[in-house]
Amino acid sequence: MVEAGFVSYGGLIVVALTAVSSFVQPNIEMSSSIRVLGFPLMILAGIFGFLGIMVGVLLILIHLSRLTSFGVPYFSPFAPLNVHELKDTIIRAPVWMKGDRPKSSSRIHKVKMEREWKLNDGEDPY
Amino acid sequence: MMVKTRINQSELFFLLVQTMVGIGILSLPFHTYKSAQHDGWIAVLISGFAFQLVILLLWLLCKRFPHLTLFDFSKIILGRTFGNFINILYIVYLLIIVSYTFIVIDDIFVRWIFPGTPKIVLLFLGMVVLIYGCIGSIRSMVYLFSFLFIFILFLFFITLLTFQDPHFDFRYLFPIGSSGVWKILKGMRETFPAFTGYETLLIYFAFVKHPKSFSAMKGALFAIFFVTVLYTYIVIIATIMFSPAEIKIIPEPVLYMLRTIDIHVLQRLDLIFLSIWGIIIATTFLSYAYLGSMGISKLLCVKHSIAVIFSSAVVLIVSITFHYYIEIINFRKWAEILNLTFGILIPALLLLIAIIFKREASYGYEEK
Repeated sequence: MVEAGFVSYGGLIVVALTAVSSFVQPNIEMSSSIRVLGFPLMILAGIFGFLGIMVGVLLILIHLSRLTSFGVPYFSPFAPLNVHELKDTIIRAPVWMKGDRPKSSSRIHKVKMEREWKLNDGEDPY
Repeated sequence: MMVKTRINQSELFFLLVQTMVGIGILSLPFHTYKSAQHDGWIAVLISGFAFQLVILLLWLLCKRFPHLTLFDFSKIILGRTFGNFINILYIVYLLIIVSYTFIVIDDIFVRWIFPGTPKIVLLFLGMVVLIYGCIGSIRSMVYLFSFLFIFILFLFFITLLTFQDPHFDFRYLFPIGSSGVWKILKGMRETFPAFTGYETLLIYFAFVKHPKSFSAMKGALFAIFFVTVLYTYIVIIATIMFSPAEIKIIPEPVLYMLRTIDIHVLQRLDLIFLSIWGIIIATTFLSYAYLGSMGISKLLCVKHSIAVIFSSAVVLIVSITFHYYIEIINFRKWAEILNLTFGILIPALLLLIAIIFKREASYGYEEK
């Protein structure tokens, strides 16, 4: 294909990258919305190049940072930065550290069910 | 009128950092080198320390009026007429800074990425971002800014790549302090425009929880500290990359530095840097325009979205006319003088009046 002059090396790499990165999305239903978002980005990239992509991404981020679902912001542990809840996002913390529930959920049961990893106070170890 | 939204210290940090890191960063090493030679980084450190003190001054003013923005407490201090006059001055100042930002980014984008594109096109692109970004609550702005903080870190990591260039030489920094105290102090003055943005604390501080305690300033002080460290790093990196003869003739050392790097996949790293820098600039002018339209909506008693459209129209007209009549270098001097007036002089006067005439607002209801 390349030697015949149909596509360039760069074009092949871009197509391969898009094909691979389409596997990133966790949910099938997201694929259509990603496709819809893709076309304006393509037009912007055609007109303004990389700067256009950045402006498009910025507009999408402005929109996403306003979304909330059930009062919880869309970028929840990052956008209102909450260090205590970051332990479940990028790197998974060990199970015994994840005792308490996220702040945005129920106010009554702040601690999850005890997992018996640690001894309770005054409990006999044997 | 008391504001209802409350932000915590980390969110105040993000707001101030996103407002401050902006147009100054590209040409900062060039300007400090002009007056302080290789000791520019000392000048940046000293002026960072000075701005910590300025921030404390602003805090002393703001803590007398808990949960009131500048647009409200100026009326308490000076009375209705003069207060409104001060408010109009501040609105004009904020919108002028927005259009100054627009003119500078237009100029840089046209020179580096789109030679031959009319500047109006880029101006309209920025206008779309401005209108879409500013219509919304302050909370959504805070979320946006704290998410976009990733891009500042990314910008920092891009500059790390310059160390693969074999031509850098740490000896350009030595002998430390040899250019003399007077020259370093003169270099301090050149760093002031880069710190523009601290004065937005006058308005943002109204949203902070528990404004009377000193711990309410943690975010702001840490923001200034972060910006100082970032600028010092940039100035040092530019000083060691270029020889003294080179740095005098390049107005944007950071971009030239990145231009020489060649990773195999990416040929022009400076274009990527510029595009990411565009996002950081966008947060700067979004912050200013948001505050400006907040002032307009308080002054004219209109809805926020109408005020945003009004302010964006003002910005568009001002930046088109200024683009034809004023050179950027003159505008830079003006912006610096305006920034010192509105950031230090007027708040100091207001504080003086508030202390002499014992103007203070009641604490009101404070939730946990």
